[in-house]
Amino acid sequence: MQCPSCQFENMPGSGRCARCGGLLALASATIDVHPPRAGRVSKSVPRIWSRWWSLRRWLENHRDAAARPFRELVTRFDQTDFTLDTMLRCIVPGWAHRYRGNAARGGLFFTAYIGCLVPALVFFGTSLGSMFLGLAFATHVASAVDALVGRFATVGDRLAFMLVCSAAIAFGIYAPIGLGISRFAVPIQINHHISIFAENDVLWYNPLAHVKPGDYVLYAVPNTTLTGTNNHTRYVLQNRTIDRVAAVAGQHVQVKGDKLYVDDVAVPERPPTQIVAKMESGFVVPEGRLFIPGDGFIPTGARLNLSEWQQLCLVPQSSVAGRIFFRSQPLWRMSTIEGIVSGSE
Amino acid sequence: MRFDKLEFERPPDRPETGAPAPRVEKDEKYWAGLADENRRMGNYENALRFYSRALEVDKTLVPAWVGQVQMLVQLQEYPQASLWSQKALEIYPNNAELMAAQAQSECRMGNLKQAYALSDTSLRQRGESAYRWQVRGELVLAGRQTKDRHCFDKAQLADKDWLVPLETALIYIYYAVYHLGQQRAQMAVEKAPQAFYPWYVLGVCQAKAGFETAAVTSFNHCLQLCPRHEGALSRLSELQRPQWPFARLLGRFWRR
Repeated sequence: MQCPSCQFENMPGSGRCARCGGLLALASATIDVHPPRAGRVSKSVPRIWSRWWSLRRWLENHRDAAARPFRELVTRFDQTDFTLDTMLRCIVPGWAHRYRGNAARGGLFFTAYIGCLVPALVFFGTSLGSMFLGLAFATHVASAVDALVGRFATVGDRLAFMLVCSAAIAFGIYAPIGLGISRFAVPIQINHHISIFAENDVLWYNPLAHVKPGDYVLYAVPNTTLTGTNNHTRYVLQNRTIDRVAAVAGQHVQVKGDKLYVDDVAVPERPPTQIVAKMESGFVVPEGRLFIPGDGFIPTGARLNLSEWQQLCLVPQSSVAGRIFFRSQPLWRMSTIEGIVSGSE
Repeated sequence: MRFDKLEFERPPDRPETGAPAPRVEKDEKYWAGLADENRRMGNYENALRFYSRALEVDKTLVPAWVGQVQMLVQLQEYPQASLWSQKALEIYPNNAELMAAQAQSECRMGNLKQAYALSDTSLRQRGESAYRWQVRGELVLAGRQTKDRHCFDKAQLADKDWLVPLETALIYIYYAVYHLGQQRAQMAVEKAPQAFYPWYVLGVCQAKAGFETAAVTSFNHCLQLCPRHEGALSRLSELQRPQWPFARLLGRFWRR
């Protein structure tokens, strides 16, 4: 009896092949000869496999070219470099890396820095902007440390050098830039509705700007205590606020009817009803003062006489922090002060 | 589709003749022959059915069991191929071809370790066959080693049939090594220039490798030998359709 699998001649009557163990009496056995078939869904799995092979082969073929920038990205400098050329190039994150021959790592630092700096500038004046600015600074410090030293013997060495670098970059780059900019533009986020500005607006003011009538200024309210109409309450007015300048030094302020006139020209502000009768003769704004008839901060239950009102409205120029010129936040309401004023009208 | 599972005893594209067909005895050799014929034309679904018909007549026909597993692999039904080879190995426990077939299906499913063990056992068996070396070559290729060419050459030495380089080319296509697949398909074409399927496989390799003019020529050869070949028609129209370079690149990667 010949085995169908290995052609070995077995003894007659054997059930299985003595050599390979194959079934000899297959003819009489009931065996399903139709293989199982795959369903439509399970057929798609091998296609995924074959595409995986295709992708893998492509990656293998292009591995060297594709891996080169990644290899550069993870390569740190082994040698320190404290030459002036390298140190000066630490002003821009990634520039020193490029100078030392690792452009990919430098590019990574530069991209990360720009990725933090741009949102920091966009959201400047808000807590989010501060966070991004902090990240940008940290990236800058990390870039400088990495470019100058790369590898440290201990973590302590690294921390100490990072502190030194942080101080150098903070005082050498960021502090001068910050101080320089703050002479012309300072952001302030307001936390409640003031005049024509809404809550959470980020406004920019210029401390050096020459103030003219009609400008909006940030100023410190002259410290004044008002008595309530019930004779028991005391209202202490202080803090900073924003309002429109109605008149500057030398201009004549007068109340006619219930309207306020500056050099015989009506202004939109209204005087408090308590002082209307006493203001017909008017007054001239003294030298070194601005007339800002802000009434938003005067409590409704306060008793107000003419001298108190004049003390509140004739603001010393030294109390003026600066002229508001721009609103940067929210982004969809970004505008110059002219735009804001025309919008509110 | 109600009728797509119908079996035709005469393969399609064979010219009609007026004379009555001679009566043939439909034994296992007849069905196995039909299966082989279909396999050489790339009709793996039909070939699988004919192998089953051959086994209905004679369950001891080991090449038909092996052929079934091979067809399941070609049809990309790897879990079924593995299961079926296991079943066949229960009947013929140490059959080298069946082991190789199981190794191939395991390899396609990513079980390289198991596939290597099966291939080692199959190569230790008596005798030598092209399929065992072909599977070994595939394992080497899947394992990203460099001796695959050696194994495929041994397979061709063991069997001079043009089906060996052709199916080697199909293995290369599966692993996206088109330039080597093109070489094997070229060998198959040189051995059997009258067969349309090697031309088609050669065209596929050429198209994938970026030799589009050569691919068009190969598909045209294929269509001369088999004017209604759907694969060649669709690939030819795809090659001749103007496309954006990026879309073509994407299509080349996506379409297998």
